[in-house]
Amino acid sequence: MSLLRVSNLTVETSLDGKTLVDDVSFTIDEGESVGIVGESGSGKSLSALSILSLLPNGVRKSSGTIEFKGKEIAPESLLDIRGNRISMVYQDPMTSLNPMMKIGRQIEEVLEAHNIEADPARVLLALSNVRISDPEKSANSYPHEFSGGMRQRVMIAIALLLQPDLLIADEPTTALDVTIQRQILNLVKEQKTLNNASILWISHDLGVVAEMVEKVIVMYAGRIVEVGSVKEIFENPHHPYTVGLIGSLVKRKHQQKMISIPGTPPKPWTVTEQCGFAGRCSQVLPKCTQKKPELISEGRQSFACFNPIQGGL
Amino acid sequence: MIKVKRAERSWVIYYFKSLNGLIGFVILALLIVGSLVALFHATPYDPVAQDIKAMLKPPSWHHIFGTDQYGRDEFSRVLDGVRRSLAVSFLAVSIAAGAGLLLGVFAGYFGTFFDTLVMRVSDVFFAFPAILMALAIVSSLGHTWLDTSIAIAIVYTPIFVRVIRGPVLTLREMDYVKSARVLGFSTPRVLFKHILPNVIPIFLVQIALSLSWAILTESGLSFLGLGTQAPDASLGLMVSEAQSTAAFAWWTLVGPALALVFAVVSLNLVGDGLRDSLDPTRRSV
Repeated sequence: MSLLRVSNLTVETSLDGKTLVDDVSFTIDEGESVGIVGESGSGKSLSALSILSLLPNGVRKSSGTIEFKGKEIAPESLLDIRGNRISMVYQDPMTSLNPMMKIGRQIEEVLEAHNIEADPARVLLALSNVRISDPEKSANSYPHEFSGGMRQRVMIAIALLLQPDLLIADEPTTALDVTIQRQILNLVKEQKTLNNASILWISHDLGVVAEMVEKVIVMYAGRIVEVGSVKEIFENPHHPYTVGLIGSLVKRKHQQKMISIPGTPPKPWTVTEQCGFAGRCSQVLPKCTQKKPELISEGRQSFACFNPIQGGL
Repeated sequence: MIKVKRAERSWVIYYFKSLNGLIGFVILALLIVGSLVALFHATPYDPVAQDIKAMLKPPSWHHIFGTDQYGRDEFSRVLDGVRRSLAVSFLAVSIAAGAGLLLGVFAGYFGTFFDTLVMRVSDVFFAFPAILMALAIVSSLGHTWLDTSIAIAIVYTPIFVRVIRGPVLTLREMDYVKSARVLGFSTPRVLFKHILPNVIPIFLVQIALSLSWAILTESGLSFLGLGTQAPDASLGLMVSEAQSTAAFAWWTLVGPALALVFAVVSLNLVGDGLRDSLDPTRRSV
């Protein structure tokens, strides 16, 4: 049984019904790490936020179901699930902590929110788990005394405090230095094995995703365009967009040039009846602009394309 | 709370570590002691008692600030004037700060119709120059110190509303505030633990600034003859009376004017000191 099953999720603007996320379905198994990659505006964050009903004002889920452990997440049960069974780490550690409250107190608050008695030992353990030196001193520090990387560790400590089944990480390393990024990635991996948690890792960085997850979901213009294991996606991508994404990665071999994808991504609601990538695709067919390609499976890999690239990279 | 290894330093220590805060505190303390002396009628002379034989005497051991055209002791009058100015401005700012904080936080946090209403009403108040507004209110209310306080409070409330509402709007959208809401914390808890502490530094600076402005406004009103009425002493009124004598008796102007300057400067310094010590991100080690 899968831990989380998202079926036919559609998100639109509440005012004029513009589609932002179009018919997205995926599953996360217990202990599995899944990555969602895509450009800004591809709907990856919105898909993740919908899981915990955290969509911003002006945006709403118009259809689809989200099942956690086989049961649909009901509004009443949200308080028991958020931060407890499913927790989240956000992109910007600078705004995630209250500048006027000591770190230790902020961790205690999470315990209080779930009616668990605040236990100093537990707070200190959480801090040392995320490799924060001198937890006692740190618990008594204010967030501004911490660097970005240390704040993000605190956020991870808070997210993992109640041993969640699923950790949603919304680009948690984007705001950090590359060296710090590496430390955070290692930390999350280590904590994942420790707690046997599943991870939903959202990123626009294919390299980070390849490092962190087993299954990759590629999103474009509000839709899933390709799903597969990291190996399949990198060695045998079928969708031209995935190929383009991989082609635009920085290569180690210096002869190879970085290739960018020409054009800009369309607004998701303008391409609901056609392939979203058609305007930028090198091997577009006439029917790509007439009909929406459905996700078709080939083994464990699946992709939404009428004219897939075969034979791998 | 967690046991601390390093000694917990309170904000008071940080406050007195700053030179500005220290100087401001000392001057303000002296002014407050002076007002208490006046409050308990312990001034060297009665502030309103005239002495025809001692008219316009320069500063001496008997009258350290000299005497005015009616032979009244300037020093006693300055003390009494400081008492009035401080009383009026403290009362006015307490009212304005309380009302402004409440309205600003609610308008910013809850938004919608209430926000629009509060902000448009403050816009109307902002349309008038502050002193003109205070003049209009004072002339319709009356001339007692309570009326003056209320007039100044009404003028300054919209400033507090604006100063508080802005940061609250930003704070409301901060991830930690959203997280607290999403975790199911009650609205009062989010307001008091996550919103209010973050506006307190701004609020305190605004209080200190407003206190000094309020002293100036009160003096301005008295100077124009609409605040404290003769023969009672008030800094503004004394400056106004000194207009006719300052040319040949400088001490009649210098006493009240210096008292005004010290009151305004000390309140500004105290405001800076409070801001630097209460906001943990501004503390230096």
